[in-house]
Amino acid sequence: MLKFFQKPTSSQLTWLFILAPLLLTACQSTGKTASLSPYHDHGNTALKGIIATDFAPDGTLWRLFPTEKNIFVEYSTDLGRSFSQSFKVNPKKQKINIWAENPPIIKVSRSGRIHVLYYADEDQRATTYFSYSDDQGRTFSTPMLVSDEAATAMHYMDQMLVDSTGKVYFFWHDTRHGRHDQKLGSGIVSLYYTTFDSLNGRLEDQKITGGICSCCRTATALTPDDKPVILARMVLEKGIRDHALIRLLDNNQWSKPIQAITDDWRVDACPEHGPAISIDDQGRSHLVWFTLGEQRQGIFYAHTDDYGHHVSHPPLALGDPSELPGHPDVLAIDNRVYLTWQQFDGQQTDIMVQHSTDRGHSWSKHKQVLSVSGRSAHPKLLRKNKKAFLMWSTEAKGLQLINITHD
Amino acid sequence: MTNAMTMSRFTIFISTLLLFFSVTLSANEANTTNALKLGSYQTIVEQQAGHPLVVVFWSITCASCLKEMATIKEIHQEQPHLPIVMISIDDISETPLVQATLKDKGLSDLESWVFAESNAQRLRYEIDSKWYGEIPRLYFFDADQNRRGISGKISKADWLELLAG
Repeated sequence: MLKFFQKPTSSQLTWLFILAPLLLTACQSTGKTASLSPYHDHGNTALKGIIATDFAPDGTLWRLFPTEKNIFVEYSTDLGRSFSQSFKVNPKKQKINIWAENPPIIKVSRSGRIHVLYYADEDQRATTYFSYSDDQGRTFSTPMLVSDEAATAMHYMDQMLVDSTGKVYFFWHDTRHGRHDQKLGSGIVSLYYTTFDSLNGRLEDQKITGGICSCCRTATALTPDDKPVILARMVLEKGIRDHALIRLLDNNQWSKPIQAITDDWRVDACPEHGPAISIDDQGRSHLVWFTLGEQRQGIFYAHTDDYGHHVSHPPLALGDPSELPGHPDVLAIDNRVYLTWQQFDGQQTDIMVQHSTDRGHSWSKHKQVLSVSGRSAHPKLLRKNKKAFLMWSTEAKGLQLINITHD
Repeated sequence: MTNAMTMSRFTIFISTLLLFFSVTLSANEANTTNALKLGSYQTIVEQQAGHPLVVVFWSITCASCLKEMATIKEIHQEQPHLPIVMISIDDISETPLVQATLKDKGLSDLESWVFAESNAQRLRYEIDSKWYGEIPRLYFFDADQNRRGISGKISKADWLELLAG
């Protein structure tokens, strides 16, 4: 598939894997950017400093680079030290509308198809578009609207999953069917989904549930047998905004939402602080989330082996409460679980990491690995085979990538 | 000729009247939205020293904030001398929409600001080092500048209780 760049040999790759993380960390400790490369002709920085990334099965790093009017895609075969030329996704200029809680997404399937999801202002603000490339980014399909009712209902906060067969799932917050219980609060929307594959195209939109807190990003992951699981902040009884799990059952029906976490956060507000989920190969769901509930305040970790019916307790508190720990991400690879989050000391944003080698029972001490002053995206964890990478995008330093694998 | 003269004078009269009203209206609306930078918040608070003050942080995309505005309008009508400062946490490029929203909600004569630091977190931290950014976020100051912060939409009864101290 990779026709227009030279693939490294296996021995070169081995050296690359050994040296690159060391080099990247060394760069960081000397205050230089770990993996910043020139942004070609885009200007100095991505729109709001937000970049999306994913590893292809062959180890190529892909990044999606938004500007005011366009979405570009580039790849790197040297872990982000240099990038290819840019490939434009949207042929017509659009007003790109993204923010840290509503970032664009890039996902590479097992077959090497590049899937891109982004937001632009059209009839509705921040409307979702999808496009894909089967020729390593050289050409992209005409961007299509994800929602059937994009002209009349806002749809945003999307998640995109690509299963092992290449089937794409889209999940999003949708403002249609606004018959939510007004007594519970404001900003309550529905969660919709659709699928796309080459054989059947895009299915009609289907509603999964109402009662979704509109401004907190919903998290999704696939089970070992390729079924999607959703972790969402919902507006529950008495207006409590706690987290629930929903999953696609074997009969292809969606389960009822199971309230997995009881924080008792009774508030009618926009927290703009969504959760994250990662499922290991034995089916354990690892969860991280933010709350200012009666029971606890801050960011927390817990896991469940039955999709929310029983959850490890008490939740593990993450970070220094005096430094506003927030926007956590989680990644499970076999028995290893990796966590990251951001903290702010009034001047600079620090990125922290912590790991477990026994599926979330015991934990290392947390440590700071990156920091910057200025605007930044939320930190993300990326899987590259058995390796865990931390990806962080900032206005000041661009894209930074660190291997945080604990062998 | 006379008719034409009359029409002309009438037109001038109407035009002058319209001009007068439009000037008066725009003066009443006083809807300049200021850019909130590091230090601005402290200035806002200091300017109201010795008086009660309410500062409301909100966003054009926050449904809870937009609902809260109905209560703010009621309080403003009942207590027109109570200073209520509206601070939008949206990007400064959204200023036209911020102003249009305030106008639509009948709040365009309130003092209005919009975040103008690219790193919004730094600005929030300066305002309140314990604030994660959830909105609406309201601060009630008494005449001695004691501050009480509360997150989320609250009822009119809550407003009156907080204003009573």
